[in-house]
Amino acid sequence: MSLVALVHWINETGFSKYLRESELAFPLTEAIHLIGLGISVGTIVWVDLRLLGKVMRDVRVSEVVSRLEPWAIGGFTIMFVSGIFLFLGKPDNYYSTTAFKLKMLLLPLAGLNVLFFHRSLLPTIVEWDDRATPPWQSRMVGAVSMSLWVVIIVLGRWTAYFADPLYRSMKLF
Amino acid sequence: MKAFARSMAVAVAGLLGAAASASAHHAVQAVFDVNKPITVSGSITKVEWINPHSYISLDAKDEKGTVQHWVFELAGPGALRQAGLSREDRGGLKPGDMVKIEGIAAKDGTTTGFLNKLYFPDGRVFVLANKDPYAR
Repeated sequence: MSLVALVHWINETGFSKYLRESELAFPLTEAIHLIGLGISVGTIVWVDLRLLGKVMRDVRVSEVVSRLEPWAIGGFTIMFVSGIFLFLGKPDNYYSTTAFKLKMLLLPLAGLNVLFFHRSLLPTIVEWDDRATPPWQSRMVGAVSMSLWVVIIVLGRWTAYFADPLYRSMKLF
Repeated sequence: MKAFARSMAVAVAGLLGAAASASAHHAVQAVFDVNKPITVSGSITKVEWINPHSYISLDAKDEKGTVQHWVFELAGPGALRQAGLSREDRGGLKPGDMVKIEGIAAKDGTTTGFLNKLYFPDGRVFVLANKDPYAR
């Protein structure tokens, strides 16, 4: 089964139909997605700014990370799960947009950026924990993270706005 | 901050490029012409109560008697219920219903439009939007 066929199969299930036709479930899922976004990106941005040396310059990087990261992970989990349900509601519609495909490519990059920070930079943190402006690798991680999230959020909105009303330009198969 | 500003500029430029290559925009006034009112009568073939916009498809005969397939976009499920419409499983809108639709035509000239008023043969009228879909 090809990917588009799978997407279309999901689109035709009763659960998918229920979600997109619901008066409450769909708008509520959208709200939960935004709450998750607020909690996760709302905390991620402060870690990123600390890595860039722009805020809390007198607080150790490790302290900023350890205090905010649980909230970032919790918020991301809410956002991720609700995002899956949003997709399940309108898979054909979203999959037909370039914005959605780009977003799905960028999300793993944001994950790899975090992974790189944890695997390659955090082990040496004792050497630069106190520095107001962290080394360039860490600043880069902060800049990449912030840029990716800005783009991912815009692409998320554009998925809805470029999903063709009336399905005229939908090319699924 | 310079490096950050530069990376943001690159990101924004990339997005604008993606925007230019994408096709249709969802804003009602971008897709439909508020100054091009249309009236279409026919038999409903499909009703989709979808968030955030619903769709009604119908087969309508033009002046020459040729059947044309039309698709109209209209308000979402909650707004349709508030306007007094109900779903097929509650005895409401269903395929086969004869209706007259007043709306505005799509800018691209296809047989698609945005629904403003829905008329039934028994005299019931459902007003879902004004001429300007954003005016309430």
